Amino acid sequence: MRMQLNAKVFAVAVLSCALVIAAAAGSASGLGSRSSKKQTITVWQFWSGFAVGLGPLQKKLDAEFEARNPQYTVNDVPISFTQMGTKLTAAIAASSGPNVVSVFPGVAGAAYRNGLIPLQGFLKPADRKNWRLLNIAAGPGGDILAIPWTEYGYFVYYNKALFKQAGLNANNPPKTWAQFMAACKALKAHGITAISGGFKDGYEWEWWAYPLLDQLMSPSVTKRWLQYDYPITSPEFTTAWTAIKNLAPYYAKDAFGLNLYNDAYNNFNSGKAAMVLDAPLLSNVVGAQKALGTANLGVFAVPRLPGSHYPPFVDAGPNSGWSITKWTKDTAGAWAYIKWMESKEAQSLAWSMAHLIPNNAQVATPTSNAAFKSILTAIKNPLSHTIYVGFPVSVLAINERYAGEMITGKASIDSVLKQMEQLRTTLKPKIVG
Amino acid sequence: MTEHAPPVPVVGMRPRNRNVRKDLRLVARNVAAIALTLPFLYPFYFLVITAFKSNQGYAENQLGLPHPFVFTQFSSAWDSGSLGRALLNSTIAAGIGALVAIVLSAPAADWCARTRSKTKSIVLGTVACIWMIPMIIWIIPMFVELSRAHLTNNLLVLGFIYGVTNTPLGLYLLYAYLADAVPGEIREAAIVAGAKPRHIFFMISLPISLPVLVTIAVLAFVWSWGDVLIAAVLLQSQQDWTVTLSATSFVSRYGVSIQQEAAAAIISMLPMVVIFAIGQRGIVKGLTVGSGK
Amino acid sequence: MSVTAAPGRTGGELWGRVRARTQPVLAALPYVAPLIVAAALVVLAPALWGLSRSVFNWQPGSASPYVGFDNFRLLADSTTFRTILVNEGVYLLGLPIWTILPLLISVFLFTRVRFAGLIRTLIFLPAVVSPALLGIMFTPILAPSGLVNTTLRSAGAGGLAHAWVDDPSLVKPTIIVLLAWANVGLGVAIFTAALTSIQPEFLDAAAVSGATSWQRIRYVILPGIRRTLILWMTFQALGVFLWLFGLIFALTAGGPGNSSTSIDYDIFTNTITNGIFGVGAAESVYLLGMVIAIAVIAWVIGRQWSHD
Repeated sequence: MRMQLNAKVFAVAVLSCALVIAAAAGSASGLGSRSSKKQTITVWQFWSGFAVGLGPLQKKLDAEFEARNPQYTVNDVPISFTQMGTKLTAAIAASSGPNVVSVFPGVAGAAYRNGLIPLQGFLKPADRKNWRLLNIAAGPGGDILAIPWTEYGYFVYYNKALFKQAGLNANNPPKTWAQFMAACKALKAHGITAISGGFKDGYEWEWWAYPLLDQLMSPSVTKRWLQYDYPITSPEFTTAWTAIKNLAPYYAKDAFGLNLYNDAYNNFNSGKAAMVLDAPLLSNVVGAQKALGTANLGVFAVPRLPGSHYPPFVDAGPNSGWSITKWTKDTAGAWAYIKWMESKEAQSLAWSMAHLIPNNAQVATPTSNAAFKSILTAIKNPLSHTIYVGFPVSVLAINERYAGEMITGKASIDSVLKQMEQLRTTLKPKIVG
Repeated sequence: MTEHAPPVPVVGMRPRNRNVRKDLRLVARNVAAIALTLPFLYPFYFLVITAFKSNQGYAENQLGLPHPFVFTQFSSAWDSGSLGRALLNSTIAAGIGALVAIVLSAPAADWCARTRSKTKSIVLGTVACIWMIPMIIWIIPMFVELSRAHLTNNLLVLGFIYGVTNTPLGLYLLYAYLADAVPGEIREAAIVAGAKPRHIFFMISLPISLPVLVTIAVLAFVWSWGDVLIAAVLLQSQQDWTVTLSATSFVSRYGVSIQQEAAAAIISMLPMVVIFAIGQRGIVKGLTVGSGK
Repeated sequence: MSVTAAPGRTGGELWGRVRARTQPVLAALPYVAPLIVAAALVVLAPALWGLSRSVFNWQPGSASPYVGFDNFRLLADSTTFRTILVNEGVYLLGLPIWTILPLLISVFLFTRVRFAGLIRTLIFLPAVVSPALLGIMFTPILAPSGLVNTTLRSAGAGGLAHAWVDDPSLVKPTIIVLLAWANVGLGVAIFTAALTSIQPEFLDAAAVSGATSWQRIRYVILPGIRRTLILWMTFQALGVFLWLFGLIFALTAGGPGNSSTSIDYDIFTNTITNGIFGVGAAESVYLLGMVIAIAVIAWVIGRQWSHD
């Protein structure tokens, strides 16, 4: 009978829907259950996505940990940096998820303090002595929520041949900001694009901002800043932002519409621009050396502004950080993983396999590359630090959005800094409590 | 039948000039009408020719046909944008959305078409709320709740939500249609003959509304395919992304060329346009059958 | 003493009446319940719950203390939020274009034009493309060396080439024009249907009495399609608050700066990206208020016009 046929068709449709829902529920709860006698440590990390060669290093490090700790097996989940925030928020809402997670130390990590446990209690005196950057790891409340892991430093790379062309002394790069501006002017006068980069994605602006702010913030101001107690409308920021805006004429004409990654190294490596600012992944340095010739590639630290409170140093900070989530039952196992990643052996591997600069002071970094040597020396300088960890990520996002407009003068620096400060204040209850 | 002598062409004979002017105006109007479609088709044409050009080919000739014809832009967009897997995800989610929209709205529409009870306005009001409340207002709390239940990154849940979001469309179309196509007299006749409401629903309403059901399915599918808000909120793992979400991420990435963007746009739109084209005749039927009766 | 029950008050009769009242509701249940339950679970309950979080420092997964109207005040004082409100206002200025363009085109095609149906179908193609896909599609078209600028340059009008989505003063007008392009087809379809409902005698009478096209539109057509006109304008106005997310997400990400950010995009940023859920909830309350305001205004205008 027709009714039966139609009813059957409809019933099939309804049943399919019901099956779909049941399957949905089933698939969700079925995730993550491993029937194994070993304890699983689930790790969410974003650092292996930063460059192509880091995937194999991550696998090797995990394998070595498992070999040394046979009672554990590592479930390593690479997650892109841009998605990590949302995924972690979702995990915290669910009170379940990874055991160890990549989180930047300082304020960035404090944003997730509801889901992470303080780690300072796990630190032994030897750890405090050997692991660099712990001094900037604590969040505003004083808790260390993420252990810094491996280091970077900002440097200006330059094309010696182009410097010579502009009549500059290629073996004596600028040390003060005034010398730097003079060099830019000379390059421009000779028709050479002084600095390679783009402002559309906003990162170039920030990469200048961190080293300059490092210099302008006195030790006491730095302390207040890292405790979330210093407004972005303060004069240090205005000075730094203005200095960056004054670099505008020395970029290529259409720099405001370009992205950092699109052009920064491509133009520099093809000899179209004399300088590029970067925090090495040393693989970039190797690429530049190949393109320009090792003897032709020079390095210098970001020059000193007149208001600098310090002798010369570089902005040096962590590539990543390690945190333990608060629903983790076996915190000892999670800490063992972190301790392994911070260890001399692991970071030696990271150096030899991928040239990740160690933050473990015990690690020797043998190299015959002259550029690497000067970079490493500068980074290991105990004065080298960064104030980057005092920025909430979403406040930086505002700066990134307006970078293109600030560099062309369409947005005023004051208004942007004001908006950043407004958001910083809005986030205070979430970050500090 | 009378025969007319052909008009003698005399200069200054008025009726003849008026005809010519009228004809010219008609021709002008037709030309203008055709020209009207050009701005609407041109962007699609541009997308297609651009996607088949090499970077060099585009630099040399932006507006002409591709020469040579290459597929590299498609393959690079496919690979770096992970669009292949995303197409499958979209099909699953949009397909479930279409199914759920029909399953939820068809019985309710039949009930609305035959009932005069006051509850009807509650039902219609509820459904109106689904449509009028901005999605962002309920999707964020849903995200929190689904996170707690470990149901994020789940295409089946996504599809179900798509279905619910499209029930106002289904209810409205089907209710209006059934009110006309299965009017009170027919229902009463059937009841007199001994039929229960469910008999009427399965034997009369459903078969007769097939074209409208197709319309609803196609529109719900197309809508779900094009959604990016619900997908962006609920899917954080790239492997679960729908093609619209993947393509969005791809075109906003650094170093992506115009040709790759065009290729990504075509890949993400094509299946949806195809489904629409197939179901289009049904849509026309569905929207006009009711008035024809 | 024995009381004779009044008619209709015995237990049995009461029960019968209850049965009579609930019977239709019970019979309706299997048809209507799935829809209502799904709507409640997916839309209504979450919406109510989410809106209620606006008076808390909502932190999913941990303590969310009550903060009164702090979130609301924060938004009211925020420069970003004010910019966004201005953005929405500017988008609403697109209403005339979004209405007049399809109206004129549908009137034009309504006169003796060959293949009017085919032309209407072709113009309808953009309407199939959802806002997000529109954004993806127009990224290469509006790019500095994309379709628009290239066409201008090859037509010798290179000076008119601009950074359509990278220039803060151009991005909103560009979006308005884009939306006009996308919605014309749907508008033409709807207005054409409305035009067919105007009594042909009126149009003929106007033609015979020598009315110009403009007079025909003003005195016969506009009043004739009044209801559709209001519906369409309401639909477009609401769209500015309900549907912009996909387009902005795909085309501009709210940029440059915040010059193209819509409210729903900002709510998304505040909650999913920045993690300040309480502020996002308060912003949602503001958004709902605006949507209701528009609906009420449209309803009032509609009643006014139909009383004329």
